[in-house]
Amino acid sequence: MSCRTAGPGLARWPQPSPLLSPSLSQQLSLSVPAGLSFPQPPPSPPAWVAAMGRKRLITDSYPVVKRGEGPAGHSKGELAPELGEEPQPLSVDEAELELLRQFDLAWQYGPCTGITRLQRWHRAEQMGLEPPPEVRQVLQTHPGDPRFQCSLWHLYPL
Amino acid sequence: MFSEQAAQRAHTLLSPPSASNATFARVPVSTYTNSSQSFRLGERSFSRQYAHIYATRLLQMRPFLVSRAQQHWGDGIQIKKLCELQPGEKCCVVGTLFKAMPLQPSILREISEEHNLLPQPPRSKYIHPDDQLVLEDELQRIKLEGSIDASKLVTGTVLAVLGSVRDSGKFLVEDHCFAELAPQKPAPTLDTFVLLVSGLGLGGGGGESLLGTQLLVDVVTGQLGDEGEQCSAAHVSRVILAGNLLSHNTQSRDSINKAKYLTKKTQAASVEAVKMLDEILLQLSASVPVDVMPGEFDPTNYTLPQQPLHPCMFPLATAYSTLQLVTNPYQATIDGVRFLGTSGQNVSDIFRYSSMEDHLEILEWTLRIRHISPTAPDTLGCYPFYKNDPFIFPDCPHVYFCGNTPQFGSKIFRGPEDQRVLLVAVPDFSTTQTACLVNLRSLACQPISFSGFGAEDEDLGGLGLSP
Repeated sequence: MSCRTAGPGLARWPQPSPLLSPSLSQQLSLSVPAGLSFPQPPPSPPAWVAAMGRKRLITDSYPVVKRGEGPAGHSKGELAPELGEEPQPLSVDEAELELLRQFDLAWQYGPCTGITRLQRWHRAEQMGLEPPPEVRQVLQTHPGDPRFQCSLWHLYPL
Repeated sequence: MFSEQAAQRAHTLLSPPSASNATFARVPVSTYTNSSQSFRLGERSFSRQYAHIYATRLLQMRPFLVSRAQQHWGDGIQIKKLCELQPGEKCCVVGTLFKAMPLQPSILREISEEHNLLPQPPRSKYIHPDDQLVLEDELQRIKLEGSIDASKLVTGTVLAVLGSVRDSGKFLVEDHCFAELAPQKPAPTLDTFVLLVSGLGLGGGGGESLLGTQLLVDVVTGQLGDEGEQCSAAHVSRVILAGNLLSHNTQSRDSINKAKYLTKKTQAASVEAVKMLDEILLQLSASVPVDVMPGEFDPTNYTLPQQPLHPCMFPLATAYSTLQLVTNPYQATIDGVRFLGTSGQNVSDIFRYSSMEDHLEILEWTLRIRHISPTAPDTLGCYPFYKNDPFIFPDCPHVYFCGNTPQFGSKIFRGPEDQRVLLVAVPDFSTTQTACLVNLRSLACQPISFSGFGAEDEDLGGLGLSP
């Protein structure tokens, strides 16, 4: 039997659900680094970086209910971060690492294991696939750092 | 051609010695460029998967196949990826072929304890009526059925199929096409010859082939025959030895299983054979430029592309700059004519996994799919390239040869854009005593056989240069 995914009707990346409060979807769109877009995988979804965004729980949209104090009388800290609190901004390093991770996972540029990210970027450029230049800039600002230069799975004996 | 030229001069043998000796200068090498840099490996790293080769192969071949598909089936056909297919819709898909063969030797099946299988004896062909074709692109794979001949095709071919996907999940093929020939530059016309020999098989223990080899060397260096033959031999501008210079017997592995104290004084069989080869190359390279390609049984690496033999093995012959040790596959431009050839491993591997019988037909087929050895990482050892696949034809050669075939064959193949290629199947010299002479002007190929006079043929024995 053959294996085929379902037709183009199923979007690859989860769309923001309309049940979420408007502020959350605003936060998702705010977290998109300006001016960055990878080529879209077929079928065409929204910019995948925006959709991936940062990790948020669905329960963040529910109103926080405070329980009463425990039997020992000590009050626990907040049970969940309150809605309306600004998401922890990613440090520059983490944002760049996330960018490189997404470059590794993009299927258009071929397999990513066994070669460094810079080698993969140059191969994609020579094949005419137009890899994003931001990836190269990030790789050039961190030479010698294996977290940046090597692929996501470089520690595994693949 | 060679012998017609020879016959035109007056016979001078058996005449009284003359004061002046005729000397013939060999045709000078006008232009020679070795274009095999893509087959040289610098620093080698084997810590990579072979997925990179297949990915780059598909990426590089996709534009060629898209344009061919549009030429064959019209501009209006839709070219889709496998994930975009709709059932019942006629479209064209480009992908790599995989042939699932039950008889293919599989190490996993052999060592699997639950099957209790003995290792399979080697067969000449591993094809079976139950072979199944699967088309793979970057993301998915799909089984193929319909008007596509599974017995002829091999794994690793990149092709475009026209058809539609059925409800059963299989793709029903109506038509398929290959990348066909690459564009070709026009060739200049120079009246010189190139000699192609393969399978010298030294160290094999047979005295018959040594006589033939010596006759070959003597003809090329102009020490045999009348002035006519010597004049013709002066027109040979290059000799290409296409692999298997050593015999299969030099690869005996008995000494590996024996204890060290028993094998201490024994020498590897290839040492004597390499010494013989060095002497032959010395005689040849003193007179004519020689290109030596390694083959399956030669002391170099096993995986394709095979790297040149090391010059330290030929202390006598490397004194001459006319000796060139080159890679397998080998690509060069000799006097403006592009040569491309291998030592035959690619063709014999396709022979094992396909129903095609004639080596010349397989050679033509590799030219049509625009790939030298499609079975390369699957059943034929290959270096794990990642940047690009060097076995794809960047442009069309004028002479395309493969060595170590069971018999001689040559053919002119015409491509769709008026490309003209001379296909030569160079036979194994140790069994057939035949070499090939290629005329660069007319792009015709003539066999020369050096069989000894013990044979049953009606010829004058000896040179066999007469037609």
